[in-house]
Amino acid sequence: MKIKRIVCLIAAAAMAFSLAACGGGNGGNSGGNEGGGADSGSAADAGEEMDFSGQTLTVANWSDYATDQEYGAAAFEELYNCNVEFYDITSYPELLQTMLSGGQSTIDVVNINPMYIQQYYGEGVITPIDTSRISCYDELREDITGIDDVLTPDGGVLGVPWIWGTTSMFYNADAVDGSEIDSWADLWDPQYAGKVAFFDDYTNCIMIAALVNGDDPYDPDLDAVQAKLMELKPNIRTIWSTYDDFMSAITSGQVVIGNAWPSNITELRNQGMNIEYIYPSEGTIGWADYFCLVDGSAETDLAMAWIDFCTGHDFQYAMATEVQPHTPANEAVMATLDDETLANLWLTNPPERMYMSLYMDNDTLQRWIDLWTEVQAS
Amino acid sequence: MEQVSTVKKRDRGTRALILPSAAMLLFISIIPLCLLVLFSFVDGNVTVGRGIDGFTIGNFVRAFSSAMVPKLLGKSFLISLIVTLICIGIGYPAAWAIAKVVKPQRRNILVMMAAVPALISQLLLIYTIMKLLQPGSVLMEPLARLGIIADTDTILYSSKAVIFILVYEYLPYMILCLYSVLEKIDDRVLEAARTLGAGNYRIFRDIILPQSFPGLFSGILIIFIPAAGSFVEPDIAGGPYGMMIGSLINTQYNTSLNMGYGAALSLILLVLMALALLVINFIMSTAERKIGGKINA
Repeated sequence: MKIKRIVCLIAAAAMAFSLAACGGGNGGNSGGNEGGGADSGSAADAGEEMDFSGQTLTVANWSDYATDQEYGAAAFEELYNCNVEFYDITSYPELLQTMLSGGQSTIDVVNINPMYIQQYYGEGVITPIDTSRISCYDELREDITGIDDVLTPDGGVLGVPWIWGTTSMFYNADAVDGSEIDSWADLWDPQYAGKVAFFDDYTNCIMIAALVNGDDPYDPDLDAVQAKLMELKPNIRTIWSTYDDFMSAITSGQVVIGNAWPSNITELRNQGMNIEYIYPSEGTIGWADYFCLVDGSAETDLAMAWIDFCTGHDFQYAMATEVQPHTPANEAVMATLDDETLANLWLTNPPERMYMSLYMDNDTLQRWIDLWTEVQAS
Repeated sequence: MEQVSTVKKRDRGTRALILPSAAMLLFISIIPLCLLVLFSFVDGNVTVGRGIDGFTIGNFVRAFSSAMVPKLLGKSFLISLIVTLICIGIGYPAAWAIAKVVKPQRRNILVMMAAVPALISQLLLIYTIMKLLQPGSVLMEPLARLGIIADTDTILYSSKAVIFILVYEYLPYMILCLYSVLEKIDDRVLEAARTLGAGNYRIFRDIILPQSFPGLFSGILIIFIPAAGSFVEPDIAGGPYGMMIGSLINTQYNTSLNMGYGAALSLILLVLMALALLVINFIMSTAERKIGGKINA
């Protein structure tokens, strides 16, 4: 019996050693990957070394957005024997206002779009992150990691990307009568009058109109953009802002074309709709979300463990393979995804040109918001 | 002397009873209103615990020089007026039926049924009605089968859908307000009028309408102001042309973070609505006098 126990202990120690770090192995998270595609990666070592029992981590994020699924918060709670609570984001400006007014003391980690990271940092809400504590940091998609929008003037990293995606064009193949659709300009086609679903986001709207005008989407002629968007209005059936708004409009047959998130389109396809998601020839609109550490958080270690977990292999793989899939920021995980998963993420043929939503100064931001508001009010 | 002392004690007791409601009025109505006026002159955003950038009349200059603001105000006012009129049109017969036609023992259950929509979550109501308005729904399908509308017809994503939803949301309040006054009308007065040869129209005009004015005005007050400031309904169901002034105000708080301008727009809306209510009150008072003197119900 004693020999058996010793052999087991040696075997366990050897396994733990071999799974030590993300770069060289994985973290020993017992969660595993159903598809077996990725090593488990990252966080579990810390989970074994640190005791977070009884501690509570508060994460500000959009609801029903990967982290609040079983493979997210529940897995993290099990791993670290802690509690995770969520603060649901309704808009980044509103969240900033809440945090500045006192909510900051209860939130430890916040998910922010790079458009707002500098604003949050400028207001003293978030603080730089020690990326050496993120075991898979080097595996994260290079073009969205450590970009200017998430760096302090002295090079500190304010946000760690954990998810990215596109807001691109979709169409109902049964309703477009075989027309070839490959350009944003198709949304302006009079045959789609009253059949377009358009995302209620000033960045997307202005960048799309700029692309159709052949203009620079980051610095377009705003008068021309406004005129172009006014031309589109007769074609728009609904300006959607939430998952429910969009799904309700498309499933009822009210709209046949527009812009959307890929996860919605995958879900509709799984429901049997003959719907396509394409990357228009002018380029598509991309986005990425970053986890940021709240300045003054009382749970810094747990917060770092959370960011580590969310960029680790287990979580990233689960996120990509769930019913409503999301695109992982971890390239090592991406490399392990099979064709079916890539197809569900609409990345069998990734977009050739992607324009990311980036930070803009306050004056530009206000001009863009005012423009879109005026278009809606007209 | 003893009697005077008792009266004074009773007065003190009454004042003490009024204190909680007076404090509530102060904290949830008067102070917020004062803050609204103050913030409407703030330059930019207002954040608790932080300084204010300064005061300006620029928010009002911006609002009055904008072509968009009067347009949205006019549209919101019109939609609110239509919603209020439809609620009156449906609410009157419904409240009358509950108060005077059905058996007294069934009134409570009908009042409760009328109040049910007011107890349900606003978002749930909106999404439910949107389902009902979709082509092929239980509401639209029969109309399509009868040939009244085409299979694909729907009022969804238009101002009509916004009006439909707002009516559904606010109708219970109008029914309850009217029911509370109609129920008090003495049946013997109606019978006497009938005996003296008055027709239904005359009875309504000279007896029912004047006595129901207080309830009617309460209903208008409860519906007209919040309906004009709606933003969730137009945002979800209004389509590309559905935006109302409430949406513009909401944008200032949620997207632009320009609370000063948002407060100025809110104040302008509030003042205009108050003026509109004064006009409505004046019309109703005039009507009361012309019909036959003020009647306190």
